[in-house]
Amino acid sequence: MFDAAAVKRDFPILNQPGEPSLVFLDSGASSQKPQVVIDALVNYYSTANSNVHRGVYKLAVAADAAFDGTREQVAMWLNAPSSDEVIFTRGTTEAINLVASSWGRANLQPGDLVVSTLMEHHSSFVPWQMVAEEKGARFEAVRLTASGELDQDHYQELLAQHPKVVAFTHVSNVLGTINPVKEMTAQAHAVGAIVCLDAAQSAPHMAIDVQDLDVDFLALSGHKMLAPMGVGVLYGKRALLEAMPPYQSGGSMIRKVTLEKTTFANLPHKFEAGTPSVGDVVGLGAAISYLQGLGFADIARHEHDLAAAAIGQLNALPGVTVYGPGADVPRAGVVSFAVDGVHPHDVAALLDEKGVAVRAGHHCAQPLMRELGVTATTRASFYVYNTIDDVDRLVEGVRHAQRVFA
Amino acid sequence: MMSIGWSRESATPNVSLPDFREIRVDCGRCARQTFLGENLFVDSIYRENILEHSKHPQNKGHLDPYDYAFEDTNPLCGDEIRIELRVDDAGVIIDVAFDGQGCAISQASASMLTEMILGMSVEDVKAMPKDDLLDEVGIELSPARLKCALLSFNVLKASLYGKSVDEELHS
Repeated sequence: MFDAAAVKRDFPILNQPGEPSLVFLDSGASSQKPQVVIDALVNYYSTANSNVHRGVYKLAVAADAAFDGTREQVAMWLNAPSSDEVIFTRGTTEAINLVASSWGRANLQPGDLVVSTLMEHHSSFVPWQMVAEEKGARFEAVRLTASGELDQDHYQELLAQHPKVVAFTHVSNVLGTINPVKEMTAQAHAVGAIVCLDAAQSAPHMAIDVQDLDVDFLALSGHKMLAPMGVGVLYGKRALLEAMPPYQSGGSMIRKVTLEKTTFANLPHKFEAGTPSVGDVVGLGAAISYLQGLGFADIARHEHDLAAAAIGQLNALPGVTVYGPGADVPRAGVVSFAVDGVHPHDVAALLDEKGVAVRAGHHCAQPLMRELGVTATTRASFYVYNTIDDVDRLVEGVRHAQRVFA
Repeated sequence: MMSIGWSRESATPNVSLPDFREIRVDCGRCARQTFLGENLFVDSIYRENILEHSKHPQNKGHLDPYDYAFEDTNPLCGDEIRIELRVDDAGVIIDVAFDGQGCAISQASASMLTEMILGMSVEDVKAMPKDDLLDEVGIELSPARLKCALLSFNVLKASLYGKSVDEELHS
């Protein structure tokens, strides 16, 4: 049995004094941090801080061990064949920009097709749109069905035009839809396309196996999965990464620099120019250990239960519309909704008055907002520390908003 | 995992950890401050005047013809406001209308603004400080919601100057 109340006690920010107590339902934007992650940061800066890959003194050796050890840990967590295929970035955005910029510029030609989808976060949409425009490639997006899933018929139509790359999200940050990544990837590979997966909304919430999914690239953010802001991961297949030119250049990523020519370091360092955020990487390691301790299967089940309760109770309120798939299918704990006659910002502000933190806005998914025919939605997103009581507080807050604007 | 405590015997005793619950946020250049601490949940920004104006907006609609018009969007939330003005030979605003969609704060402030400027000269409106509108709105706003409250003001000034005054407002 998943004990969310016990988990909640591990998060200092959720246990601050004051009434009403904080109900945090914006983990889709960024999660809170457990004490072990905060301690990992303090511990690193108190006992091991120094720059990596350079020093011969004891502290530097400790920092190297912490940094490279976390890379091994990430590789095992994602079931990557080698830690050389794990590149630390600032986050999902930088990871996808790396692929779009490096792989995209080296491989896209005028007339090529880049396929995205209408449910993308801007970070998995704009980098590909920009490189397509720069290289004279076509940019198309898979449409959605009425229930907020990718229109697989439209996807097949686009695959028949032989795209070079398919870039899409594992889980919608607005609708909570879980896309059939393994099937879509196999179909993309069958027509010769590579796949770049945005796992920002999936990696924190479910087990990820990059070899099973068989994606070519996978990007994720630490801060959405209990780790500090400032660290993310790009996984990429070795053959692709080795053939790609560097993304940023400078320190750490070189083999030899002369006036005439610079040669580059091996993976993964070729793509890690400059000083990495080692403390944040160490924090990511602690976060992964914490989540593995809870168990990803149990986490996914817990969040589905919360989403199901929220969808059921919100749908029962007159004048409330819930977007995205129902709880009868596997879906993530992201629930977007509209309240008739109350603007999403007002819903969020009135929920805040009751101590409930939710997101309101376009969620960096303007093409999806347009598809839904709205400028904004209110979004509750659940995580390990949310309880069924939090769902009740959400629904009570929505009723409060309805009363104020009645 | 070892935890390191905060040393009370620091060599720099003036450096202290910030208490984020004690932080006050300035609302633009006016004297208003929003307190993020204990009283965060005490006062609702949805006071009667805000709700009244948002539910029953004044001067909502369009003018035909009009002398000035401008519209703009708040990129943070997608709120849209359009303002149209009719001015007589003496430069006095004799008719005003606004249209758009958005949150209660942006719609109520637009409604209030149209009431305020009706009968004023264009020159006086050009010189009107944003605090005049914020006094009328009369609630403490976070920086994000301040943008909602000032969207109509921004659009009004832009219509009179023929360009966005966003830089002037947020510098």
